[in-house]
Amino acid sequence: MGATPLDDHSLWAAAGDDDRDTSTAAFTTLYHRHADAVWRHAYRLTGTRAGAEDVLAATFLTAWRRRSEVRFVADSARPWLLTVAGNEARTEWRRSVRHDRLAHRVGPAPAVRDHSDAVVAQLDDRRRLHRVLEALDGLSTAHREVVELCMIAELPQPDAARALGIPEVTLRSRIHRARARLRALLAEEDR
Amino acid sequence: MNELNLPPAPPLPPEVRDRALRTVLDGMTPATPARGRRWAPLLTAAAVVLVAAASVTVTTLSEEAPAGPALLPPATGTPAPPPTTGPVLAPLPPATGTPAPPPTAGSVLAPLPDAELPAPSGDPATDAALARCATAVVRSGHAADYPPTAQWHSTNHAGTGAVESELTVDDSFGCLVTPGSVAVSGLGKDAPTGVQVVGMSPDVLVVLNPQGRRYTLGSGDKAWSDTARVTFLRTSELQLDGAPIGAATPLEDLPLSVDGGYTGTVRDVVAAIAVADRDLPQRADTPDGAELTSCLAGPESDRYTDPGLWVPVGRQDGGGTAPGAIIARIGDVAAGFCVEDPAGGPTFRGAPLPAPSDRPQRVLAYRGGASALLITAPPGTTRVEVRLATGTGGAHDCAIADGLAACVVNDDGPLGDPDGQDIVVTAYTTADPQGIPM
Repeated sequence: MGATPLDDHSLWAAAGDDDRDTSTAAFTTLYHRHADAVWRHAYRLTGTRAGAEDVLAATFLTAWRRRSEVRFVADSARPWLLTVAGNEARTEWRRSVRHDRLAHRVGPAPAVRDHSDAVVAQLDDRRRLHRVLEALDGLSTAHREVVELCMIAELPQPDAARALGIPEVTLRSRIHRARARLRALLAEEDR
Repeated sequence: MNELNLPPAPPLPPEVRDRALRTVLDGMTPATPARGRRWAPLLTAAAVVLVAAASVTVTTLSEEAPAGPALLPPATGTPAPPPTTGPVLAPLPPATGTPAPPPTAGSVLAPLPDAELPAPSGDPATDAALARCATAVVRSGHAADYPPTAQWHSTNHAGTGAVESELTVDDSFGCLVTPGSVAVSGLGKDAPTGVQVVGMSPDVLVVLNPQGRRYTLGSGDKAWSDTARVTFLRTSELQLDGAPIGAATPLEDLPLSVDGGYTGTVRDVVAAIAVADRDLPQRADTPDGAELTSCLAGPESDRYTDPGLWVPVGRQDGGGTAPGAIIARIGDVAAGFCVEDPAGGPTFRGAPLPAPSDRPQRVLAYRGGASALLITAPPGTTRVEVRLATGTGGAHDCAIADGLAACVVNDDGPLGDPDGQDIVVTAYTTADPQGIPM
């Protein structure tokens, strides 16, 4: 009979072990277990492979550094990791937008930042993603977090609430308001 | 597709999975513990070149100088000359045709020999910025602290130069180029934490990370996390416990963590080498000047390292039917306006001036609660008018002052193109009396 895989709780505890080999092995297992989900979320929040890769690495590094703050949802760290990914993606977005803003502010020159690695094949998809990310940037932190978890990562609402450490009723209220705000923001762009 | 109709993400490529894991594991490796040590100031002096008439004096800030970004020196203590006095700047390199002037034209510093200038990059604005940075470093006596200037290459240049731009050189150090000055960071290689924060101006920082480690600066929602070797940041992008950076929340107290070692605060903000390399008139103390000062400080206005360089040259008087605007210049380098935006309040926007032409050219479009357009108005421009593209309300005249024309209307129409295409501006000249659509 094979060994039962350790759950996230146990791996997380092992990741904090003083023995470096033990902690590295445990965290590597956690990484492989959740990397795909974090990558997909990161890609949807950045729109580029390069941005998604940066966010993927940053998420797990931040998670390791803040490992005492982890919240498990049904013994899984994934919902919490996705909240960390959202924060990292926001930094990545601000970084990319900042260069574009400076270029626009001083005149119609080429923005040096290279977007040639964007892999969204269709121009419409890329425009849509960019518009959604811009709209997200216009939301409050509280609203943005619930949108990222429930509408982008498509976590069940109870899991998202647990990951954010808020009551479900609060989450539902924020989702409702965020949807209305997003509708207004995205509708303005459509005009 | 999901509720937001986002396209599906591609699967995680194996090489990306492995590469990201290596990054994570490297970042988890502890370095020599750094807590509990007092760090001495890293750079104890910054050279500031003051321009005074025909002489050049070098001022060195002492160790006891207040921490924080080195301020630019004032241009002079005398009132600024009126803007019709010939500016000392050479025009920007033209886009095509006539040969470009030397990249450091207009500088009060002795130009570097061609052999010491960075090699051409193919972009005149980048070349001009690189040349100014190199000249400032050499003429301020800091050449030995940098690689030979002839070997410098731009690895990032955000902006077109002229008004303000941020130049990264060889992914090693940063140079902030403004109309009247240049600020150059060091290389940051001796930073004990692995990351060095450099004050380039009161609003602009450079974070140097020569080893490319992941660091996090600040806390909470506005924490900045990066691995780039050179990053330009505005102080407005950072916060300390929810409070903006300022006198009560100094930059030195910002949390800083660097993977593989340091966790603490910034502790020291190193001053950049700041050189005022162009003699430009400062704004005089007039009613228009005071109004422009207030506008430039407004929350919606563009930020400039030395806002005092913007000199008012005229007004668009809305006369109650349209918002007003103050037209301003920085010599032959840049032009802008402060628009009395009904939605956001007085808002300043500026842009580099195009190469001189005998035909009016667009400089800047503004779109907010009002729509506005700034164009050049060369000699021979007799009239400029603006109307809404919808055709309602008729046309009215734009203000012409000092070779510029400003047109402002209330944005009564539907939201449209952010370049302000909802308005139609027509310039009439002696050569084109039938009008040139702008």
